[in-house]
Amino acid sequence: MRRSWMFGLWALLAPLAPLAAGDLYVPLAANTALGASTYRTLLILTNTGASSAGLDVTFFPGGSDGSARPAASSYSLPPGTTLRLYNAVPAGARGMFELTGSPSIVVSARIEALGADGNVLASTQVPVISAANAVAPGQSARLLGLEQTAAGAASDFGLMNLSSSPAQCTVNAFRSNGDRIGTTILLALLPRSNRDFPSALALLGQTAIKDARFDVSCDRLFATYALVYRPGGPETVILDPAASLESELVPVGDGSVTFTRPGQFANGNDSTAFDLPLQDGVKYRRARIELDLFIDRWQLTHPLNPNFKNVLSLRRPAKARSERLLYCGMMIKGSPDYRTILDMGLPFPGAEDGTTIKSGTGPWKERTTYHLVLDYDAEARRVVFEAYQGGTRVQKLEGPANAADLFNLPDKKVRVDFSSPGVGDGAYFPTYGWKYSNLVVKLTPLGSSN
Amino acid sequence: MNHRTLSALVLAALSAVPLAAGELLIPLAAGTAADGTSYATRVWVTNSGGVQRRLSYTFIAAGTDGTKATPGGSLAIAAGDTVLAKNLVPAGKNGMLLVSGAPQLLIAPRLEANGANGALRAAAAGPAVGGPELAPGNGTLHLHGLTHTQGGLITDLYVINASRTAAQCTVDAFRDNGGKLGTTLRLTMPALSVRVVEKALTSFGAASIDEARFAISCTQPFYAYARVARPGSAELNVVAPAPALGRDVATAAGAGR
Repeated sequence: MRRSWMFGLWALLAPLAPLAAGDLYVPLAANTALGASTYRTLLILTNTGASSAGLDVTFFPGGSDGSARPAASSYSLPPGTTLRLYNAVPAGARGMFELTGSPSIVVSARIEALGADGNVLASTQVPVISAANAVAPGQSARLLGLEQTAAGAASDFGLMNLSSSPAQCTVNAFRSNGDRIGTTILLALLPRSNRDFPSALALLGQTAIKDARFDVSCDRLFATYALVYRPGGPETVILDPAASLESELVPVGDGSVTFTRPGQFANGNDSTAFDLPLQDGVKYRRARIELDLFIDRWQLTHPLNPNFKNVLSLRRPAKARSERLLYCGMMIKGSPDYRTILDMGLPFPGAEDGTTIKSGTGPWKERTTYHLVLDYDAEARRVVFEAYQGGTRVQKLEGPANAADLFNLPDKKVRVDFSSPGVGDGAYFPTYGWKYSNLVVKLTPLGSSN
Repeated sequence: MNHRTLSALVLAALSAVPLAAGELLIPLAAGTAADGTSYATRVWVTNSGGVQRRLSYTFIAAGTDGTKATPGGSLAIAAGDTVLAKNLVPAGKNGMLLVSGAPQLLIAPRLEANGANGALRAAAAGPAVGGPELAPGNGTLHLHGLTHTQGGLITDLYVINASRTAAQCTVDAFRDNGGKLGTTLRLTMPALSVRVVEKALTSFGAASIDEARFAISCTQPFYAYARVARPGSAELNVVAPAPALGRDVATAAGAGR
């Protein structure tokens, strides 16, 4: 192979490929009047990257079944800019937001109380729920410092089911001396939904209590929060679950990043690309990509055409050719030996030819689903590719990797691509009709033992 | 040794020497504004376990090496109790608390602003910084939605070096259109320390600005947050690092169980 065909093709033709998406949830999304004031939730969105980035915002009304997904609103942010979204909640509504989009975009939220003249009287930060602070099924989250007094202090309680299945939750309430308040409360939540319980302690018959605690657990991924306030007074505190003394002062999870796309995420007719949510400034030593691939038809164009199929690549694109980096591209030759080819990019910057790793006769058959695993070890400069059919490994291919700098640059993000947007040199083809599903990409930072 | 004595000894041992003790840093906001508004941090502690536990604490004054701070003492928390911990820090001092104890102990700080007459003016949940909140060395945290106006909202920046090694940190500031404000602020951070940059946006030459952003990076594991307040009003916010999109919430640890 004269050069890295696959890399060149994607780099030239894929700049408009869709970006990665992820999920954040924001509770207490409101646009409601209370007395002379209006309470509205403001989303603050900043694109920290060096190129335009997009996101979708979906509002789920409180108590509604989130499996019937409302329409999302899409936004695009120029590089470096901050967007304030004031109007994402319909008038009079209350519920929660779901946000998906580029990893370049960071999100926060706050509730503002507006006077009759529209001026901001007060504002409070609202917690944003991510994979880092969502609570796993079966685990407990505790809300501390809850109160209800005759003088007006009240505590609203909120619960979010972040799963696509219905959830069963339990809430146990305690006084400051550890005594239980009533019996365990059972709550059912619809899929991807939230419920708010105003004056929750009063609902439990407690009208004069301070420093109370709720222990909350669900059988699905969830989040919980409380709002402690005095109507008409200055104190409005949104409480997250209390922090526990479970860990030492070291970043949890060693900074590994996992990116997933359950279900079918691409068809081979078009190129599909995802920017990976690497932490800027962090160097990664390993990227492991797993997915299921359904091979439909070879669609041979001519008996003498090698009919290379562009399956996937891991790369860091850039506008300038000299700054583009291909870590590994995987192709299948759609001709008699159906071999697998790993395009490893250039052995050094400016090299004329890329290097490849080739198999012998490949296992690939039409109308068959395979599980693919590409393990790129930048530190050891080694790549291992494996293919499985029905749980049995049918191919293993390994060899040296060229690129060791597995990290984002300010305007260049590490990306995974699937299929390709066009035909290159009459021999490198998209995977028309093939189906890609169940993507999992895990990136492990340097210095981690995982 | 009779059964009762043995039980007491076991209880005392459990109380004094927690198994697998963890640590948290609790930033403390303190000080008095020109109009007499004073800031303080209250800390709720709950023992969710079945036996008494002890919470050890050390006050680390702002800008000082926390590895050399004098241990402050410890609190006994009875099983199931929730206490509002008091007198853990010298009055009016900026800094942070290093607390340690058994994983059954739960912490919830709250920042409060009181008027000169002692009446509560504003309150906000405060950060408790542990492993899940920390950014890795050379990572970047973004604080956005920040404001500074003459006679109005003020943004104070808090940067914490959570490592027991000294760190170099940088702070870059941006307008809401992405334009950079001033020059990069470089901070030399002692081991296990907190640095407070009061009226931080003015350090970048911004006397009146809305929705600004800080991008903070350190050479060691770190955390940062901002206190945005309007002295004399009900405006008091703790702005924590803004999480990024691009990671499905379902990838949370244990979410698939």
